[in-house]
Amino acid sequence: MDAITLALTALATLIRNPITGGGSIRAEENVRLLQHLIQLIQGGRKTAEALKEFAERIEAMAAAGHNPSPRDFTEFEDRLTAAMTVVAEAKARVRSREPAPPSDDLNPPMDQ
Amino acid sequence: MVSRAFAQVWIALALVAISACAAFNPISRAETVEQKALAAYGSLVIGVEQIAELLRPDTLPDDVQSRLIAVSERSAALATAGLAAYNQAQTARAQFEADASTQGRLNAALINLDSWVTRADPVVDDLKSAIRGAQ
Repeated sequence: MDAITLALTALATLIRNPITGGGSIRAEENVRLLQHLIQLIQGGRKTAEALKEFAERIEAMAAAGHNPSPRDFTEFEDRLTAAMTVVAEAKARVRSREPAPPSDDLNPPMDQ
Repeated sequence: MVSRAFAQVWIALALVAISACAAFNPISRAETVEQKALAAYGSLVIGVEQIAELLRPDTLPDDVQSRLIAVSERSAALATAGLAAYNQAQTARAQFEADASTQGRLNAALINLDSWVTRADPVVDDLKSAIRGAQ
């Protein structure tokens, strides 16, 4: 756990505790938001690390004067397919929680 | 007030996260068109992978997840177009090596690939922004 995540976790614990003035509904909302922020910052940091590593790979390729091979692209193509499977599952999950649109059958037109 | 204090903490930490993430751009390290294409393609894939990791535990609010899903779908479509442009350039290069009279076709394929890199670059930035804060 890095310093920012540790600090955020500590803050979340602090405002959850009624002794420190936390525990109100508003503080609970802050806890929820902080937890989301921790998750997003972790995601951002992982992305930065992955991009840094990849940038170094590209830099080495440029320094050596090599062009990428089709295998380099295939590697990422496979990774994209795997990631999009997870995204598709998430999409189905989120859609299943959306309220159903009003059905005409439930509100038939009234005969006059 | 607790909320105001934590809003300030939020802003400060978000800025730290943004500066950490913005420092690395693989596309700027590449020299040839093919290297730039791999840099852009790989960056898009890395971004989509990180979004998938954020979505996997199903803990983010649905509106945030919906935005991340939309960004990842756009990025994946663009990545697929980039791979097609790279494959066309590869085919054109092989044809040129066999028959030098096809130089025009190779040039056109490389211009097309370079144009895709130009389109992909801001999308990579969008991806990073979406992951950083989903604001």
